[in-house]
Amino acid sequence: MNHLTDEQLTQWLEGEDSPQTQSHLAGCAQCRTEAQELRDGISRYAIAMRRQADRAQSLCLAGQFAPQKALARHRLRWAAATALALLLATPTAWIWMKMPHRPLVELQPIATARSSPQSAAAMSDDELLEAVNNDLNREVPQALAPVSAITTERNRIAAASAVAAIPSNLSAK
Amino acid sequence: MEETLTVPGISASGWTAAEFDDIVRQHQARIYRVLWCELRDDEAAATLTQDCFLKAYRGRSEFRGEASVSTWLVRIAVNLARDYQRNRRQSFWRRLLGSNAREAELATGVAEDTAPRADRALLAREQLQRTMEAVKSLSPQQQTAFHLRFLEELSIEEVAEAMGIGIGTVKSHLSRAVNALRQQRNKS
Repeated sequence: MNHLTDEQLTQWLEGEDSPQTQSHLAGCAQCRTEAQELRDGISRYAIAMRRQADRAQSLCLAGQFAPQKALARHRLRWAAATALALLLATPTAWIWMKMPHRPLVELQPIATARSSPQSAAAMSDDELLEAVNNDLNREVPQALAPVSAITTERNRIAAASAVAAIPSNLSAK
Repeated sequence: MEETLTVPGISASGWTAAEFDDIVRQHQARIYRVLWCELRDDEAAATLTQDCFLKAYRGRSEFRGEASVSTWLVRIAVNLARDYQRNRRQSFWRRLLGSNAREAELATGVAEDTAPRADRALLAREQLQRTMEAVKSLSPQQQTAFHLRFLEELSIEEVAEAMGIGIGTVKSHLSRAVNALRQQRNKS
């Protein structure tokens, strides 16, 4: 018994099979099984390839848009950081503006300001000269004057205490 | 089968950009699939899909409406795939490793998708594997004819038009494919 040729099977797959092919398939279990397996195999292959191609295309499309998404995320992060910075800066600035301000440095001339409670303009020439002279004759720098005063005072108290502690008989000697 | 856009009696050069955008939207999935089946390379298929439409747009004055837009685009895609494969022949290892990994993935995926039971899954996988082996043993031209006919479901005439060959040659390629499938079946 001659089984179906490749051409006949191809025609059967195309749906253009002849009556002879049909009658052969009806009577030959071997060819029938082979033809059905062939059709199933092609069908499975087509489904698998289509599915895989569609999946690959979806991934490619996703990949194409990925840089834009990354850029959007990057911009969003910057926007969030800016908003947070503004949120923190605004109340800080408001509090700072509401606080009473004192000049950090007195702009009056040091010599006159520190040596006299009077302003330089209110001083007479003689008073101003004396103040400057006092400053120039100062033993410690202006910045250390308070410390120097404390030290002097402490030494004075210590000396007074020491004198008080000496027995009278020794002091008489 | 996808609906094809035919423009009888209107030359393609008359298409507006918006009309061409519609053509791209309508056909890009098929063109990608054709290229992907030819190359089995996701990125290359994506790149060549863009090239295909660019080439079609530039050469739109050559389209006379004798064939469907779909067949015309498939023809451009097939030619692009041929050129690409010719240039890629040097990268032997990439082709070998890539195709093996992809086919294993493909076989596993379809078995899981189409056959829920374990024995049916095994059967489906074996059948798919055999078909893949058979298709792989075909020449590039035979593979293209097989894919266009059975995956894209183009008619024999459309396959001939898309490949730029005669109808008899297409039938011969398909017959050779059937022969390869039979041999592969008898081997196992």
